[in-house]
Amino acid sequence: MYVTPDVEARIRGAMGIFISTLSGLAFETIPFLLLGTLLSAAIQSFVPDRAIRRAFPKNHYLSILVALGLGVLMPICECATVPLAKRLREKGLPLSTAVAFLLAAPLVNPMTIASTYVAFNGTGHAVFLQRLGLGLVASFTVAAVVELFSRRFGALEEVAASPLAGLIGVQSFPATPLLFPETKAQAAGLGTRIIDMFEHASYDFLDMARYLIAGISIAALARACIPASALSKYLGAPAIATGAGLGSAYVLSLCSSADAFVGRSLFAPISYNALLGFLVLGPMLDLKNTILLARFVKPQLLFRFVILVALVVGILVFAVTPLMEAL
Amino acid sequence: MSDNHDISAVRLARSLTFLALSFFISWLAQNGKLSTLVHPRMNLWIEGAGVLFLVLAFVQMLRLSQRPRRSDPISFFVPIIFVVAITFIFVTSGTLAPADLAANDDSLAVENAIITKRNNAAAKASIEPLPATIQFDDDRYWTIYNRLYDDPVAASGHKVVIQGFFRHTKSMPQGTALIARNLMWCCSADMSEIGLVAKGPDLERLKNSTWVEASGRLSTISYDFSGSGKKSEIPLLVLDSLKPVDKGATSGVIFPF
Repeated sequence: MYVTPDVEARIRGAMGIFISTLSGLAFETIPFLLLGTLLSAAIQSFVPDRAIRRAFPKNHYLSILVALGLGVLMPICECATVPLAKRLREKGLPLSTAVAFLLAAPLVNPMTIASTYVAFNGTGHAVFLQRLGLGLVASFTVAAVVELFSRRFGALEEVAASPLAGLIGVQSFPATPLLFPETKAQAAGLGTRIIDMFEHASYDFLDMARYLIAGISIAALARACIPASALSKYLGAPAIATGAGLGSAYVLSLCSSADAFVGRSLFAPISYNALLGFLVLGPMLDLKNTILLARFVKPQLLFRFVILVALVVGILVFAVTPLMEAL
Repeated sequence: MSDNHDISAVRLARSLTFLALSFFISWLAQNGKLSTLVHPRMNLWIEGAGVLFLVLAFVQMLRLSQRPRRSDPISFFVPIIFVVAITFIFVTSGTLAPADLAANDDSLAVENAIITKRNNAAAKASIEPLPATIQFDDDRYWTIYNRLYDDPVAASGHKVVIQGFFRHTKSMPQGTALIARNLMWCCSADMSEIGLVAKGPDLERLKNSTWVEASGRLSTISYDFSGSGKKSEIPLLVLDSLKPVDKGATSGVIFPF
């Protein structure tokens, strides 16, 4: 088959972008996934269920508020939050609390705040505060909706049929039961617990890495096929611009500690709606994390969760951008 | 095959996978290849992960004869092998990369040196008046780039010497090309080309990704560089000379902070 030089150049360019994106994202995220699985395994091996439950208020809404701020103590980015949120849920915290942690931890990560401050320093907008504020409001709203669903359908363990029940829920984990029952693990000596911790981490890392890599591959493919500049043609109307910002944050799957710089170069001179949509949704949810979540959540439920998060962020950003732009 | 033998095979496979990852990371670090993948500030994280993989491999070997509670199907190991293979292609091949990423083996040392001295040089460049001849040095590339794009009219008439890879696309105005380097904020997934639009005769003779040195005088051009349909004034380098040069230890990747 004859391929014109022009087409050949395009294919080579797309392959180059695919390979560089996949390699970069993989080596940027693998250390954090490993860190997340190790922290998760450490919690499993060393922290009793009741200690975790005692650390959070009994009122679920207050518990959500505590989870929103937990990321400051655990400065991790979005790849590490999935195994940790899963472990918190396994340890008996409400689903809404685990969701709040999952969404907010990368936003309140000091590295995310600092990089956003540096990226927009001198622009006349306190973008880092806007990103943090809007992200926390959106995370609380999504977690509160999850809580309302949980209450509406009764005890979490009985709500397998509810739209959001599968997300990080106990009923989602039969494929990965705890390696050692807690009573046995807590009774073991320090050496055994440390070995157990690495055992948990080994399994969880290999298990989640394949989902993460699948997500990264799809994100890399999307980036190779859709040039980022293509979006900028559709940023005239605020609603479409907000959608474009959300869409690019979701597909590009960039690390929350550096996405502020990319957001600035993509959208800052063109659309504030797109910029805020990009900055707020990016750390909360992206393509690679969605695939990672697919390890634990049924596709239908995961789809609804993604739509819920995108809608909450989109509506919030669309509603407050004129005010934020004026600040 | 006995049940125990199968179970040991799973632990062996886990162990070998972690060992392979650890050695691959070590190889990347030793050869300075990490800087083509991620920002230097990530090096410590990745090298730390390499050590942890070694620990995980060791723990699996310790328990080689014990039956794991959770067994791994073959699909657990394939994605890791896939990533290692893709990354190997990326760091060893300059032809598949979107731009000139085939830095030589000294690149890491060069780029780390740039990072440590950038702050002083950048601060100086931002307050000093523009010199008659503007040199796009490695350590001031980002600062000078910003300064010229912030106020292209003020820079007009100044002489410029710049090294970078040559890039021409059909979307660029007739008779122009880009002299650029790759800007990396965090990893190779967020890289973008930054440089000067250059205008001169016979630009078609050069192949894309050729490392060149260009010199000329600055002017301005009205150009839709963001692709939004809105044109703005940006610097234009009117070429006096454009020649392929040996890249040597010059970095093709710029780290802005």
